[in-house]
Order: sequence, then structure tokens, then C-alpha cells
Amino acid sequence: MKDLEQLKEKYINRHASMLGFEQPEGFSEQSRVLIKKKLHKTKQNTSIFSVRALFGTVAIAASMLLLFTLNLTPDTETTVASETMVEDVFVTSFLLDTLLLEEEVLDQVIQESLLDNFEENLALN
Amino acid sequence: MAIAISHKTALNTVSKPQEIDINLLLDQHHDRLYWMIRKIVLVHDDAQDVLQNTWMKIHKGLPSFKGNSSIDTWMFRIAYNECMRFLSQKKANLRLDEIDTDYIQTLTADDYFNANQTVSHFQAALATLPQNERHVFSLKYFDELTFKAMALILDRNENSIKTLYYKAEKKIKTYLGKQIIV
Repeated sequence: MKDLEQLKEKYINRHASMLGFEQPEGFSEQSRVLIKKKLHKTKQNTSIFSVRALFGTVAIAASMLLLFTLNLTPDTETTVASETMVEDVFVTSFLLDTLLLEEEVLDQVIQESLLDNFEENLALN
Repeated sequence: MAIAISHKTALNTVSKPQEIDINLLLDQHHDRLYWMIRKIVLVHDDAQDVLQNTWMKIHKGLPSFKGNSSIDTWMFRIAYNECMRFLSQKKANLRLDEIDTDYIQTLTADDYFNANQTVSHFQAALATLPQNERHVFSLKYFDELTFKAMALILDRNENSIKTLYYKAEKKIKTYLGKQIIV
């Protein structure tokens, strides 16, 4: 502690005698008290922020957990709707196939009848 | 030697850098940091503001201090960066023609600057130096830092720090030599 005091004296004297730097009386002590107060205030603010942050994190985690749990619960309405949808798709494609088939058959029939008609006309002439 | 003793006391009482008591650091290093800052920003009130910001930064950064350098070198670096931030903000508010004459004007405008003949000569000699040479000279001559510590604080090569110091020393000697002859 004595070394520290000597060092402070040495600094003050050197800076004053060579550089002309002076400071208000009792500045060192006053400044240290002021800085300590500021640091203490910052510590308090930091702890309040930490508590807030902790609450925030817990709230977000709880919400996410709730959402996750809700997703895991079987939803009957959704299942029924999806089954109906699958069924609808099947029926639609089945009908389309049938229609296409009928159309093809119809085309063939039409073409055959037209050909027959042409041959008949040709034979008559 | 006394400086070395005061540096060790803060570290020897703790096993991890994170456990360093900020109040203990403040008691031990407040004045050293103040004088280091004062020599760069020149005005007492400005030095006080920069010093407070520096201690806030030290407090904030202390949990992440890894102990790669000594704690005082780390604190000096924070203080130096704060000074540079302050000076760049101040320069941004000055006109170009004001910057050259800024050093002496800033000094003489401060209520806590007391100039006798020796001080005037010495400050005039310092004013002739470029900013980086002045900072290097001050850190070595007044704060008694090692070249290695200065290299870490100023984020420069150790050899270039040595070169800057010897250049500055030579210029000051030449300037003061001329003043004495006149």
C-alpha cells in the first residue's frame, strides 16, 4: 500500500513538473467513489436485465412446449378430412380413366362406322 | 519497480482472472489510467469522462478476460481505444485548419494546465511530434511500459514501436537542445 501511495505521488509530481498537468484537490478519491457508484448501478441494472431475460426465455420455452404438445395430440377432424381428400382424389382419377376409355371406345366406334359408311357408298357406286 | 509490485497484487490474490475484484483494480489502477488518458486527451474534464467510460468497459469485459496478456496491459488497451474513440469524435467536430494547432490550444484552454518555462519547452517539443510518436513516447517515458506491452496496447509490431520511440526521443532532444542554446 505504501508502494502504491509513493507511486501515486511520483506520477502526480512528474506530470505536474514536466507536463504542467494538474488536477482538482482530492480528485483521485472523488473519482474512485463516483466510478464505484456507477459500477454498482450498472451491476444492479445488469441483474435486472438478467432476470428479465430469464423470464423471457422461460416464457418462450413454455410457449414452444405447449405448441409441440398440441401438435402431438391426435386431431380426429383433420384425419377425417385427409381421408376424404384421398378418397376424392381416387374417385376423380378413376372417373377420368373411365371417361378416357369411353372416349377412346367412342372414337373407335365412330371411325369404324364412318369407314363402313364409306365402303358401302363405294360399293354402291 | 514499484509499478511491478502494484501490478502483481491484483493478480496474486485470485486464481482466475474472472475472479478479480473490480474495486481492487480500481483502487490500484485508477491513477495510472487517469494519467495515461490525460496525456492523450490533454484536458482534465475530458480525461475524467474517458476514464469513466474506460472503467465501464473494463467492468463489462472482465468476465471475458482470458488472461492472455497481463491485466494492466489489457486495461491500458481499453483505455487507449477509448482515447482514440474520443479523439476521432472530437476531430470530426473540428475544422481542418483547427487540427494542426489543436495540441497547444487544447492544453492552454484547460483550467488544470499550469505552464512554467520548463513545461512550455517540453510541451512545445511534444507538439512537434506526430500523434503516434507522441503516444509511444508518453507511454514509455511517463508510464514506464515495456515495448512488448506497448505493442499489445497499440496493436503494432514491437520493432516499429521501438523505432517510433527512438525517433521521438531524438526529435525532443534536438528541439530542447535548440531551445537551451537560444
